[in-house]
Amino acid sequence: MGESIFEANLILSLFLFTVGILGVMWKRNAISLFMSVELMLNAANLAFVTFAFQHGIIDGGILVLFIMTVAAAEAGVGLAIFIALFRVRRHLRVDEHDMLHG
Amino acid sequence: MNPIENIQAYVPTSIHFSDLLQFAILLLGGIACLVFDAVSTKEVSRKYLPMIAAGALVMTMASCFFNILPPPTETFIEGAFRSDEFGQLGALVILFAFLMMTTIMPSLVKKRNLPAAEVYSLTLFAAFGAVLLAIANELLTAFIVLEIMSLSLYVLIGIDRKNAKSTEACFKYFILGAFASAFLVLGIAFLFGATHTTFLTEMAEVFKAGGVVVTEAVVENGVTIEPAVVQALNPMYVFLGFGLLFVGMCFKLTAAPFHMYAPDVYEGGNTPTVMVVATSSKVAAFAFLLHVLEAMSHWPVFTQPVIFVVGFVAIVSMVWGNVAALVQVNFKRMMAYSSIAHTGYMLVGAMVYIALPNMLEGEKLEMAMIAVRQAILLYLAGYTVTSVLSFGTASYIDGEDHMDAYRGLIFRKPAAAIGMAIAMFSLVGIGFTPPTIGFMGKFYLFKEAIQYGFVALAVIAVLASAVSAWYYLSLVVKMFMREVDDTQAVRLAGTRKESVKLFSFDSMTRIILFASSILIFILGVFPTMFISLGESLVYGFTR
Repeated sequence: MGESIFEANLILSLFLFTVGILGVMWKRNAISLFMSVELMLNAANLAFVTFAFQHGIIDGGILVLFIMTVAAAEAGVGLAIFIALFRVRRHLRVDEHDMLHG
Repeated sequence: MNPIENIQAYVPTSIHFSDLLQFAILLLGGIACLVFDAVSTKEVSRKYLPMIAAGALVMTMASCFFNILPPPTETFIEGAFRSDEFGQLGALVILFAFLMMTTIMPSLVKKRNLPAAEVYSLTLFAAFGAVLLAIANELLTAFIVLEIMSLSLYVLIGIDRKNAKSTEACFKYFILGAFASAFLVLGIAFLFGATHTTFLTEMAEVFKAGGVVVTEAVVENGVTIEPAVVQALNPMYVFLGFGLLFVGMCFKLTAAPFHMYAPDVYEGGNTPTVMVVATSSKVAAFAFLLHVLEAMSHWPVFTQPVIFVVGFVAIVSMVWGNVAALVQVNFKRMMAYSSIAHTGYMLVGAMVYIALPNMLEGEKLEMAMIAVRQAILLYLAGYTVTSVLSFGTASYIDGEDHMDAYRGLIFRKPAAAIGMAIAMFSLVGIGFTPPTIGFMGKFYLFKEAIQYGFVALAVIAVLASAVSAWYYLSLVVKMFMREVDDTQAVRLAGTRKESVKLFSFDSMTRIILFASSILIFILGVFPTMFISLGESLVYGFTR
């Protein structure tokens, strides 16, 4: 593998991350919002794996496993929160969750 | 090339889990809560679980007074942790707020019919995450313990799941918290890419050398790199990595451009949890940010731009926090903006900390860094004690959060009103409040800033605190006014009638509230006592 594949991977990772940020900003459904956040985490994973291969340090690949585990825990808590929110309000459209504002 | 070829037999050398024994008490306590709840009835677990939780917290706090952790020059658990002032003194500060939360929770659990096991075990898990985050020396470890803390706090904010407001606050906190974590992880990835390591102590060495020192010949991208060659750092990776990490931490610290969720979360969440979110999680996150800055500050290229960025965030936080707090009518929203402003003051300290390695050298640098760390920790301790007093009083008097509910509180609950007034005076922290910790914390912090040439920033900070006097003191004035009429739209705070038994958790709440009011003055008059306690704990005069 040449140098270019690493750079291409990093650019892809930053691109996915940006897509995730835009998703969090523009999407108006709680689930889509959370999917965007997961996309951002996976973009970070891609960057980790890329660096691990580039430098020949296995650490980066192992860190990804931990991050995936944490992301799974986050998904568990997140979906529980969405269910609680849905039970109270009967919808998940984030624009209409505006009871709290100053 | 195949990275697998580089792996050598891995032999763990320095794992002594006994080093973390004092913090493992929290984890075991949390598990004990879950097990106890599984084998007992609802009433029994409601009665005894707070005792288990408070017991675990008190035991950990007590063990902080012994020199159990290794000194700051050593890392432990394979380099994953390194303890400095934040290891023992910081843990005391963090656990103090959690202890307060445990004593307030029983009445809330009873009133709102909350699940006891979840409340207390999650409290202990959050405490576990927070104390470890304050001493983390490895970025991934830091991320994991940060998530342990955050996930527990997300759930605790929304534990009252039939309440629409608290669920909404929980949802906002969760989405923005997860969003911030993603920034943090990508930041860690790029720092790893630049420095080839995730250990902060090793990272500091890399930054000192100005690049990665190759100790044995490696083949990278088809090019053989000879030993003892310094591979220059890629500044783009470092700045991208630090920028993303800083954004993530700003979310956790509620620093100004990234603060928008804080007022909503503080308003909607239940008061004891909000108290912990405002204090403990902030202390822990700040300790971590400071350790990252410490590792990176040895790189001269890094200093100027980062001072600029951190200074910018500090100024925006101070100004925006204080100005927005002026117009709030809800007590908890006001405290949210006030905590944003306080983050700004703390970041002034962080800025001085980054600037130091380029100004001083050797012994002098060591001393100066310790002094700044102590000033920041004193400030954090002051802010924690004061916030515990104000949020604790607010949840204790049990009323609405509207500011008008506090009218004439002195006539209904004189002790609570005086406690709140002390907290407010300490939060103002300048001018006419010298004997309080709020004043002393700011004094030490701004003194360090002026000493190392950040005069303009210190002046802005003092002016911003002068603005804050308006909204803090207007609450005090409201509490000491006579009630105007009874036909108000809000239910007045402190009208609840209750009978307090001597050894109940209610009385423990009172004791801690009283203790914090006393602490505000003791630390305010003898701040050096706190600092020398830290020195003897960390630098081991008995070890």
